[in-house]
Amino acid sequence: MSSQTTVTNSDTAVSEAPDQDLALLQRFEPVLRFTRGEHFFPCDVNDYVACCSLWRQLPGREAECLIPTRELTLEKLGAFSTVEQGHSRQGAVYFLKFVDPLNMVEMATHTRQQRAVDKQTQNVFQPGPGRLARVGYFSRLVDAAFSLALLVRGRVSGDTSAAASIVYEQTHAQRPHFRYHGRVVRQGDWLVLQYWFFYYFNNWRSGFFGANDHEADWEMICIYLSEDEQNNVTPEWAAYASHDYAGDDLRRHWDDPELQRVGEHPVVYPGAGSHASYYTPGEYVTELTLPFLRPIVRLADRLKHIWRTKFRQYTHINEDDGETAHGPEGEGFSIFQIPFVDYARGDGLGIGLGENNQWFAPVVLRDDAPAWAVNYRGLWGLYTQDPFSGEDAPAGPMYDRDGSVRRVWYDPVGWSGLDKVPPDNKALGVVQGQIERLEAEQQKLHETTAVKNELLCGLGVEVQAVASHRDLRTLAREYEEELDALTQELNQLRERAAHNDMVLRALHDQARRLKQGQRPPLRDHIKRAHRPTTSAEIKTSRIAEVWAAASIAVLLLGIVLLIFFARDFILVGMISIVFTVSLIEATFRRRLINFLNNTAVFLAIVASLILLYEFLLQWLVIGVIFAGLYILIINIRELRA
Amino acid sequence: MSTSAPPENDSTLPIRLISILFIIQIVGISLIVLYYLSRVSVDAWQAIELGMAFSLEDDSALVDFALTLFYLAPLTILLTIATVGVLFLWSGGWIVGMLAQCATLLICITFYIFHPLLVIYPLMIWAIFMVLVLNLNYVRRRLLRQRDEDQLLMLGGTTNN
Repeated sequence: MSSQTTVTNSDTAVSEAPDQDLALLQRFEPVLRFTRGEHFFPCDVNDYVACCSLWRQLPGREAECLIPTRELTLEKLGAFSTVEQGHSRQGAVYFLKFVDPLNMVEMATHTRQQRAVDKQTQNVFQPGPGRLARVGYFSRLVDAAFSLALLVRGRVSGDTSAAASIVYEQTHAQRPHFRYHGRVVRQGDWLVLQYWFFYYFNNWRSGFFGANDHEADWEMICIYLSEDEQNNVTPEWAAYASHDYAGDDLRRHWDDPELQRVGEHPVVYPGAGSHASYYTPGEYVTELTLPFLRPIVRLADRLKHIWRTKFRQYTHINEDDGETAHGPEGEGFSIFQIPFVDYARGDGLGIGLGENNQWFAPVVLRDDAPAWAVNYRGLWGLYTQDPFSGEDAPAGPMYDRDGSVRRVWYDPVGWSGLDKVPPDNKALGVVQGQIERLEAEQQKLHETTAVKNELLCGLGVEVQAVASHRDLRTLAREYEEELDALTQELNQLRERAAHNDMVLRALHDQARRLKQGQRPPLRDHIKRAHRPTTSAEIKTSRIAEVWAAASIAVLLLGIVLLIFFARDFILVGMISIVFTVSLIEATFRRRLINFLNNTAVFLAIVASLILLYEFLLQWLVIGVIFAGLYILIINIRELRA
Repeated sequence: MSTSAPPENDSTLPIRLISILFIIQIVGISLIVLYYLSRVSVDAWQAIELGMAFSLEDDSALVDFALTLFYLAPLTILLTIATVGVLFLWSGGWIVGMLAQCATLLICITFYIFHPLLVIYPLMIWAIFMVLVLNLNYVRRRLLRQRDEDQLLMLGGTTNN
């Protein structure tokens, strides 16, 4: 169990007095299992802030230090006026600066010492088969551009990660502790326990070949409890934050086998360096979309959706294929997204029940405080001015980088898509309420239908009577129109009633099942589960890995050779190189059928464009002829009527 | 509202009917080759028979015939295999069929760039239509079901029949 400690800072002292929130948080506090090689663990923000200085960056100016290191405290940060720091004020960005990078000598010394310590403590990270071998060729091309962009865009240097590691180890040695920040929120019928984990540094890129490095890292999980009339709580759902994903896919039922538990404590597998939270140990391929490519990704997804639904064409991942190995965002791999591997193996240090390290008393974030969380909207680490934002530090638990309040803070239930799900103990009531509502609507519908039907009959008789008189032809036409409108309205009413009947039957079935103690399926809400790469997927041959690493260079070299030796055939040459490289790629990845399919579709698109270009006038003429015929048919119909 | 796909028809007839589409393509290609053959002048044949020095530029009809025979005629072999394969619902039938469409489109585009012939356009349209037919989810599922299931199981997913 958690060992109680006295936290001296006034903002965090609130957790000293045992209360219901604290007891709840501790009752369900998670077990964290890290990956070997991890150097940063959840801790108190107090020590971190004490090592930081506060800065302001105005556009086009040098950053200025507002509060130097050793002078900054949580109280000062909390007292920092939001009006003073507003992001809108001359576009100022406020940020903390944690450490300065090491120089070369310090870096070399640290690396040598760190290796020795890691070896001794068996905390050595072994990278798995290259991430590049697991993903497609075009993704690698985008990745190469992304890596090259690091040379010119703002970033946190690798030496900063080492410096952060030294400072963290020093502070941890002085006051060893593993601590989370807990928050209890009541929203609707749910009682939400939020566990916020603060890390000194995110060294995903420099330590684990990931996407980014940044100072400070806030991660979070939620546990959703239902309460009965005696205030007894039952855990029903959990949702782990993973990168920027949100919605149903993040949520797991408490009884879902994927959600591992030690007693009442859910187990979390944080990604190495990234600290994103996962349910099962493994290596996750995570796709990141560059901000400026998002519109293209959205357009590609939309076209793919039309291709699949309207044309009923096959795409690599079809909706009904269920779970995929890739991120919840998008549909399978997209060539505009960059894949990275998030290692969440769970073979390293563990914190929590049954592990070698235990949680210290948490810092409880109450509704009215702490001031540092509410008032300080700036970044919690270095502002690198990275246009992709990946290297900029995050804001606090309450805010996004742009200063807006995080959804998970103000709407934790909606964030995980739980707002449409009633707690188990209220489900029957909700179903019965819905049955009552629908039955009332049905009653109303039946009454209206009866009245309208009577009207229709009367109108029908009138139309018959009027139609038999030649001199009342105009009136007859008006009556017929009225008759048609009424018939249509009646059809809609009957259709609605039939639809309601079906829904009512289904609701009665559900109510019966609930009364029998049956529960709805645990995983039906999951559309794209983020699951680790399987051993079969990881098992790529050495040649495939070498090829993955070399393919982009081969492509670039081929283009250079073409420019120098066969400039006249550059287009044909480039197409041939891309085709050959893609073919080799497909062979290694055992995706020859997909390659064949994609090639055929690509050629069909090219051929369609040629046809459109060559016969534009003819296509237009055909279109106009069809439109003319259509209008003609409609007019003839009207004439005959 | 539910947007789920209608239940699949278990009849294999629609799939087998695709082989008729392949036969139409074979007939079409054969007619194209025969058409260009018919346009070659008797003089050109005599010149070849007598072993006389003959420049291809002298008779463009002979060039057209030679090109169509060389590039399009082999497609009929692929298409025949695809016809039989699809008729017996072999997954190989789909693969060879798609390969034939790839080759048809590639040849048509090459002709379009280097040696434009009018007949390539209807052939292009037909090949595009065939790609759309073969790539239909329903067709793929029926012809490649076993392969897809194996692939999906290898990835640790679930099959959905």
